[in-house]
Amino acid sequence: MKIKFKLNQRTVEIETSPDRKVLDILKELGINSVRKGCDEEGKCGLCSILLDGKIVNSCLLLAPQIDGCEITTVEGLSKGNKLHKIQQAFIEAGVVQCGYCTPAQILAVKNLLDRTKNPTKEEIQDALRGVYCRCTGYKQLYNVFEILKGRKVKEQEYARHYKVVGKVTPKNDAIQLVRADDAFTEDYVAPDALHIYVLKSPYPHAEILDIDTSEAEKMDGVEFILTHKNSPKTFYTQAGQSYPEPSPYDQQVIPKKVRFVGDRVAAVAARTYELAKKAAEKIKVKYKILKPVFTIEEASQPDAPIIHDRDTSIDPLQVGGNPKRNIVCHVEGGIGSIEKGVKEADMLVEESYSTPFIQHTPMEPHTAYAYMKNGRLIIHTSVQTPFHVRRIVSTILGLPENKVRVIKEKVGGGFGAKQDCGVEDLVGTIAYLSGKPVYYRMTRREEFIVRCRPGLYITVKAAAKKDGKITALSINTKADIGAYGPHALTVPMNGCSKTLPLFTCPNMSYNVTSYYTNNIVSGAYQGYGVPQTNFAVMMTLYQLSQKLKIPFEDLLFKNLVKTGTRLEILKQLGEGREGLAQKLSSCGLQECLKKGLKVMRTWKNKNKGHIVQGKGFAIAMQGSGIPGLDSASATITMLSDGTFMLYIGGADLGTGEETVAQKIAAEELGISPDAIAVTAADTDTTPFDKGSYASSGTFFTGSAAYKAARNMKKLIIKTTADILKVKPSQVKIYPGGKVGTSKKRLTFKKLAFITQGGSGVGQLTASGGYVTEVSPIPYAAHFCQVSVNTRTGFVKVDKYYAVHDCGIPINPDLAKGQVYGAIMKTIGHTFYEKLEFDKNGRCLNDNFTNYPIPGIRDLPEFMEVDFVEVKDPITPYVGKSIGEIACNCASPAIAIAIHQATGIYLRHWPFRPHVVLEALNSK
Amino acid sequence: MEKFIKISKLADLKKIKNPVKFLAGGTDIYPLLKDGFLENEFFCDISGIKELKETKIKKDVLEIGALVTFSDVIENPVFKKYANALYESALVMGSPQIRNRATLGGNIANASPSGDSIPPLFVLKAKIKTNLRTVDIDRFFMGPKKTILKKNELITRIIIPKEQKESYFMKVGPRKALAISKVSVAMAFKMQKGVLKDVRVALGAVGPTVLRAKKTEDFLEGKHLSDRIIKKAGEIVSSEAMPIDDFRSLAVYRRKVAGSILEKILEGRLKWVR
Repeated sequence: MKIKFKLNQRTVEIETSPDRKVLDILKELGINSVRKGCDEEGKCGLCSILLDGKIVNSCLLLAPQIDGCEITTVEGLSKGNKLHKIQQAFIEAGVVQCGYCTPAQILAVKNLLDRTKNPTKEEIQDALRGVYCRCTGYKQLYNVFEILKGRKVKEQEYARHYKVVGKVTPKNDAIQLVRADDAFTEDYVAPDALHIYVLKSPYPHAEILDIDTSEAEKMDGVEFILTHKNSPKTFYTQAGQSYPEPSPYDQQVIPKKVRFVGDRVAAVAARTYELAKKAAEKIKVKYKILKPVFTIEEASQPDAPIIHDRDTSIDPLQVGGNPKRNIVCHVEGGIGSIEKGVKEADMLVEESYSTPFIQHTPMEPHTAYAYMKNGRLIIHTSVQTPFHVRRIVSTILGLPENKVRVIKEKVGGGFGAKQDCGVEDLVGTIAYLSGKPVYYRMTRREEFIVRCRPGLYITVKAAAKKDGKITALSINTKADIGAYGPHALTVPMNGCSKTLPLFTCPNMSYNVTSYYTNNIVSGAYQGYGVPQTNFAVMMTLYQLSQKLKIPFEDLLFKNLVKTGTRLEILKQLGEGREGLAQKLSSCGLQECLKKGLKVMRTWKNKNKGHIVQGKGFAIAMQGSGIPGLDSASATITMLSDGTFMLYIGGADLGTGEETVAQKIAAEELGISPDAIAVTAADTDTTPFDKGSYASSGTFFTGSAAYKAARNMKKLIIKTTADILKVKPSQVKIYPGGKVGTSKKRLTFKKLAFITQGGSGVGQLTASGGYVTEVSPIPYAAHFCQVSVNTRTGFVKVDKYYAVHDCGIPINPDLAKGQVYGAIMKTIGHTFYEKLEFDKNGRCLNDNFTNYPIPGIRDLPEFMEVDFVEVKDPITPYVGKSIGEIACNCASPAIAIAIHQATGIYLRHWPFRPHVVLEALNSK
Repeated sequence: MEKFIKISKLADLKKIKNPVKFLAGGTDIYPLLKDGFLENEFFCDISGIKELKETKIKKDVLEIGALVTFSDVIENPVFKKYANALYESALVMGSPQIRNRATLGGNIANASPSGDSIPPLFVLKAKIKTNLRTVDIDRFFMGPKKTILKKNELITRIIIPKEQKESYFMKVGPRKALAISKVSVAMAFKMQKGVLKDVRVALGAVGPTVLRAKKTEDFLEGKHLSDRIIKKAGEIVSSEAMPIDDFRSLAVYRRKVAGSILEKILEGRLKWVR
């Protein structure tokens, strides 16, 4: 049928079949802004459009329903290069992070303001409740309305002695994202690319006896089918970690034995996705069904089925794995003696905690697009670790690394799910073997089972003297890491590494064992084992303080580390290697705690009938990258007008890492950030960087940018001295891009003209690499007040206040955005998020209907983030990390507040209302 | 015969020969439809029938077109006046994106036990008018996703008597935004000198269909509202709920919460009396 409609004021007439979704039609017409965050169920709102002025989901519209209508998308808002005022306000509010949901949010705001000039808070919440966002925590969206009213919303600025660092500047890629220009992998896919459908195992544990693809191959349009038969036999780990990875080599692109419901059985590449799917249905597979194991208890039985054997679980670092007993790894260690510590104590508490499988739900699922060009394999992808992916894919295919190029496009949320080579191994292999361009974009259902946070079972033992001095602290963690072992050692281990060093206790120990099961594959998730372990540690210490009848804060103050404390425990906490004891270079922890307690004391608890209030808080630490293992590099070049290009390998996930690098380089060179453009995360054109994980972006990548800029500065000075025929010591860089002596100065433009001219020295180019044996430790303290409805078990977070020591917040509004997002995610994890499985290991809630994530209406009424500015000698402009640490406090703070309100201890996530109610009833 | 037809007049219904599925706002049905669904089904798009988009205020009744959307229910003040429970259900029903498309007729025909508009329609004594007949809403649902609708029978209007009654709706879900309702309660009554008259209570998402809580209604009928009566009514409602256990929520919990919601509605009303 023919339909005619207006799209952004342009008349469009197309021939279409009536069953086509409007979302797909718009995509074909070049509209990027309609994104698919769910499987076309109207749950995420990312595909919102204005249809005759009303906001609707374009995934729930069929072609005939727009006949004669008028459609507006974000593409229709800006005029040429001039942004719409709402787009401009989004940038000013600092609420653009990954940008995948931003266009939908912009439309929702526009639609609201078209209806009402001065919306109330409730109206704002209602207008934005239909658009999911996992990055921003929604909070700064309110600032958009303030800005549009003409009010200045200025975040506090830091580092008085700096001009750029510590000040609010726009994110370097925000314009592209608010306009919905080409940005994400899906925006770059050529129309002739083949689409991949992956046939997945319906069984949790089975061997493939035979696989027959002949029927599928006969279908017109099916171009390539990959099964275990024609797939590379290399064993590797998908874990995106530096080599040698502390994760077992237990995966193949397509295995002969499947180990969870959803494991890869075959992949079909065909002209359309629908065709690939139909072909996959024609593949005949003969399975030998094996007995599955779903729990640690089942996995550790003496006669338990073995999921991996030595051949299929190669442990490069030898970290105590015993696959024949389904043990992926085992480590233990500590300082002093727990036994001695317990003996000395007046009080002992030992409790067990558990946390379930949780999914990251980045709004953009895993996506990759690959093709061959000039004999090389090119992969465009949404990943956190492009350089690790290049290494892994070239290893799988037996290619030299220079035959593989990985380009990280904009990433629509990662949170650790995209730290691994989760799709590039498959997509790269198919492109290489078939020689054809191939594209794979996971559905939301696939995304739900591609990676998860592992289920941790944590027992904490803590003992203290009457005065609150802790004499013993031990953590025992068992991890259900699922079918394969990426991050099997490091996630539970990191939980111990980033909690024990908070305390000066002389007797501390950890004991970590990870088990294979036939559950879905776990891996990294923002916080990397710490949100769970810190929950267990904080709760145990809080309980200890209750039993000792001393305030929790007093117990903490008595035992906390401070600047200069020697962290002996770190020596015992290497991840499969020997660690390094470290003298604490800076610590703002006590300051964070004091600042927050002052605010929290102004909140009064009010009980109203069955609604009771309570307050709670918790502290946390994290790392800033992995010292001694990771590295980052940057290159900076001077262009012929005296501006610069900065090349970094760092993979910005929307957090503002590129902006951080840009600002640090600008500060060092004494110029405005505008004078530096950033190119990042392309393995062909930018230097090596470990990628974005372990909270390393600001510290590692930022430090590499600093070193490159410092070297550029030296080069500028030396070159200028040569030109002016003076000593380098007489030459200085002056603000605003000038260099010279007190008498004679050159502009950078003039310098570029001289150096790049026929008699010069060539383009000024400088590089910097960053490695370190120590990294600065960020600290935080979070405070909250909750209301518990003792009739329904519902818990509402009323107030939330977070104080962070992130060194210097290099971009305060982006730093705050990180914290808001992390808090909201953790509120979801604490109260309702949990992947559920049936008795055969099939995921039951792999969609947003049954796995809800926080929306704007879940925001506490009061939520603020503050910083204490801390100087750390490790690098100048030091930014300690902030992305992960912000996930570590909300859960214990909330659980403590619930205890304060009701007297119940909740030790198992999530605190769903019926769980709370049961605990209240059995009190 | 086209597999997808669009009609713009009710009269055109007669011209349809094959059994069809009707499409209105599409918010419930599209997520179920996978690509290429026209291979197996015939569809009839009714979203363009103008006469079904109107709400008419008659002498004794409100005549609501089946294509009236949840946004219309919020925006048209007549609903708040005569059908407050329905208005309240629209407010909490979903995002603006969904409310702008989802229709009352569609919500009824979809017959989900957790359909938000259904408990209010029960307590408002709604009648469902189709192209063939008019039925009391009490007799309309047969089970989850099952109604008495015959082949090609289309809901055209919803008739609500214009009574001088108060009505309320409340629900509880895991998350505030977009929650498929876990438990919902609608209630209507007349309040005469502190005494409840003509009480109706309906429960959503605690049984195979939305159900009337008749024991609760009988208990409350003629009672003076007091804290003690409210508590007792909550207990009775809990015993009447017939929830199934699923992973979204446990049955025991749903029962308990149904009671709490009813208590909350009545407590709010009691405060107002005092």
